[in-house]
Amino acid sequence: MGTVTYPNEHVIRYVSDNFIPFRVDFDNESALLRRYNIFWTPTILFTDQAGNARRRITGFLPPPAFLSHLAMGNAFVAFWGHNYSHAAELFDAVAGDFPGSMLAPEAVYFRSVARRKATNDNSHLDVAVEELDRLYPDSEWALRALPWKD
Amino acid sequence: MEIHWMTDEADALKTARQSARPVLIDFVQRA
Repeated sequence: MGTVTYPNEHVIRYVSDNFIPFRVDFDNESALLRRYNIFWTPTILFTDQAGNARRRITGFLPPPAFLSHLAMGNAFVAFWGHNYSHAAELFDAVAGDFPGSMLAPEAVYFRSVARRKATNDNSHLDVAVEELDRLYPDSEWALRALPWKD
Repeated sequence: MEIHWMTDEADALKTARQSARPVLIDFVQRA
C-alpha cells in the first residue's frame, strides 16, 4: 500500500478531501490493536468521529480498487451513523463512479436501503431489484434483494 | 503531494469532529 497505492495522486486527493487519515504502528500500538481486533496488515478501518468502526479492508488493493473502497467506506460511515440521505448520495456515487467494480452491486443494494430508511418509501427497494437484475444478475446482492420482489 | 497521516488518536478524533469527516485508520507494519 505504501509504495503503490498511497502515493497515487487520486488516492491522495480522495483521502485528503474526505477523511482524517490516522496511521497506527502495528508493532507498538497494542491497545488500539486489541480494541479493533487487528491481527493482520494491511488493515484499513473507517470510523466515525467517536472512533466507532464502520467498515474495514484487509489486504492490499491497487489504486483503482482502493478508490472504490474509500468511497464505499465513506458511505458506510454515514449509513451506520443513521445519516441515511447522505449515505444514499455516497452509495449512488460508488455505483455511478465505479460501475464495473466488485462493490457496485453492493452500493446499488445499500443505496436503496438508505433511501428506504430516509423516506419510508418501499418503492426504492423495487428500483434496486430492477437495477440488480439488469446490471448485476449474477451478483450475491441480486440474491439478497430477492425478498424485495413482489 | 502526499497523505498527511496523523499519529495521535485523540488529535485525529478531535480533528474529525471539527471537520465533520470520518477517520481512515491505516494499521501499518514497518518491518
